[in-house]
Amino acid sequence: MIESLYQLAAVAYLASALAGGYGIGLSHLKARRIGVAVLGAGWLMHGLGLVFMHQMPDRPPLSDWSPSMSLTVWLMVLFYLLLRLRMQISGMVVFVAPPAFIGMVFTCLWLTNSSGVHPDSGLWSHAHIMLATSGLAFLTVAAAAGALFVFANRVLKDRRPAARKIGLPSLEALDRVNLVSLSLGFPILTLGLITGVLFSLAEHEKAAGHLPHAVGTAVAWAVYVVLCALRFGVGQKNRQSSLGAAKSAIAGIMVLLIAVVGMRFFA
Amino acid sequence: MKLLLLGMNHRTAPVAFRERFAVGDPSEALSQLMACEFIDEVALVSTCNRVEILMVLQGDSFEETVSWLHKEFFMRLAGEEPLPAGTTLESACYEYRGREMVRHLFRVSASLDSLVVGEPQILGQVKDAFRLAQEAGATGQVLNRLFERAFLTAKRTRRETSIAEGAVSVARVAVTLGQQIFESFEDKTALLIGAGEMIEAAAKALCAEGLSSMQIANRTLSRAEHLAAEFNASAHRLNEVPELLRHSDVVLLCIGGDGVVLDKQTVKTALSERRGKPLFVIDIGVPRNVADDVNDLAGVYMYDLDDLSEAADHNVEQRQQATTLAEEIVLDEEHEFQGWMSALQVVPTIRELRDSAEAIREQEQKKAFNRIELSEEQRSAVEALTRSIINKILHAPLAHLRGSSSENDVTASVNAARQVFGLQSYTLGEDSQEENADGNDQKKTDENESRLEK
Repeated sequence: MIESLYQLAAVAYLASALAGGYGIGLSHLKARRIGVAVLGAGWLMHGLGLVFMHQMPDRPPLSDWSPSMSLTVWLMVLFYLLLRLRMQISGMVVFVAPPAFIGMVFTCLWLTNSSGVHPDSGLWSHAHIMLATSGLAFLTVAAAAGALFVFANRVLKDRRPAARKIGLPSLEALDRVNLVSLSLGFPILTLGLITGVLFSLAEHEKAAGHLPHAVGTAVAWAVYVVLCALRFGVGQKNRQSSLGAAKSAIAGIMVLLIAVVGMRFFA
Repeated sequence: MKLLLLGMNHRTAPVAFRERFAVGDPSEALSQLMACEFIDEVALVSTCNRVEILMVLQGDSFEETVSWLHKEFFMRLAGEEPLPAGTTLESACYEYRGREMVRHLFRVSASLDSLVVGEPQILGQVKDAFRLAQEAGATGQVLNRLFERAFLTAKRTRRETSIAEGAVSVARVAVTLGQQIFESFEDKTALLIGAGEMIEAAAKALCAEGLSSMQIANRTLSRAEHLAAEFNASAHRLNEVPELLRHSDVVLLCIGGDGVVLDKQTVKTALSERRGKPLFVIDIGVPRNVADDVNDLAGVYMYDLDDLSEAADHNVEQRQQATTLAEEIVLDEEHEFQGWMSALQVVPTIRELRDSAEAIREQEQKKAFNRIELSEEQRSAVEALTRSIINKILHAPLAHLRGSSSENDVTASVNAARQVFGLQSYTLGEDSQEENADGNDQKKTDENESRLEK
């Protein structure tokens, strides 16, 4: 049942990406709206899957790859849908739905392969996973907005006739999404790291600083510190441009994904 | 019941001529039109590009009505001053009758007859004209239905074709581009450099989008002040531009003579103080007023007249392509309306035919019942039999009448039916109807019998 719901959600995310792509490419507003609606439908099925999983007596621990990935994707889509209620960013679905689809594919692949800590292993474990996945979700949305900003900027700068035909969100809206996501994502990620250290201390009586996952995440966090310093920089002249912020958000998520997901393979 | 449209538009008459016939008070004009003995229903569409009178006439009084409109209505509108040299009312006016009028109204409402094809204002203007005519009590069954179908046609063309998509003026294209940079113009400031017509058009388009503040800089301060007063903006001299640029989000330039007004260094200096906010620069001056390398600066989005014209031309072409499909919709709707009109014209004949047949049936049945003693059950059976015979006899002619589609078909069929069934006497005047109402049954029966014999 859970697997079926996850698979359906994955299909919906893929369909949403395709509809969004069609809507952007042909400047078709209805297609973009359909993309958002399908994404929402996928998110509901996904949420249902999460609820069923939580009710299972032998549920996999949240620290497992599959549930944590699933939760990250679910939170990311939720965050995007909430932003969509406030801003005209339907076109962004084309950069949110594909990572959601990929995330769900990995969720389904890893679903039967439990390797994490016990589900009842304590408050720090849960706090760490919840905060880290939420931070990752926000920062993924920031990167999606950044990617779309870079693309839209290129189209507008080139003065191509296509600039008047592509149904992209405005640069200002994308920059705002980036800013809001970074403002929320970075503090939450920081809290996730702190609770991770506390979890490690509680579990192993020492900080797990030697683990590749911990090292990678610490590096990613340091990158985000630099990004935030540039974005909210001291003094007007040091302030990063919107394009710079967009590129930084993409670079930041790459490092973070390597740290969180990539380290799994190194480990 | 005949349809007639008489009017003039931007294609048939120059503005100096059209403005003489602009209708100041539509209610008064409608009252005057309604007073005409030939007009049954009327509506008046008066915009800056057209003046059209749509009428449903009583009978075939086309020539009389046109003559009355020329002599009485239009000449009263024009006043006593002579018309511009080389123009006459007859040459400026066009006339559409019957289905031509239907098609014309549908094309006008769908913005296929507009100066800029697909522009949205005309539909609102036609709706206003209809509302005014309704309020004045000048419309009836036919015009109500006609306008209803016209609005539906306009809705269909907008929904099913791309006739209204894409901006087609340079000013609108600039605004559309700006919407891809800014979420809204409501918290934005525009700097307009120049005070000519292009700047004025752009200012109007920006104001329509809710732009919060506007600054106008010009070589001649008085002209800037004049324009600024119109748009509630502030007026400045050209040497203030570098300072004004720091607080502006949209910069629009169209100033002749001086060539480059904004260079890269000036914009770069302003950008460094803008906290990374984007700057949208539209240069519609010829020669260009902004150095080309300004677009190399991050956060600056610059477009010149060629870029905007290219987009506008592209959209015009797209709209032109959509007109073929829109014309098909117009024809489709015209056909629908024509069907309704035909039905409307055959209804009285059908009703008379049925009444006539029923009268004969009742009369003959009555005579038969007087002659033969029948039980209640037998009477019912005979009654059902006679009804059935009448229905079967009338089925083919009625179906033929209902199936007539074109106006000529309808007229021919109605005339044929009236002649064959001798209905003429029933519609000649009130006298014959009154006679029937008085119960002159015998006379009616004799007439019916002689008709059936014929």
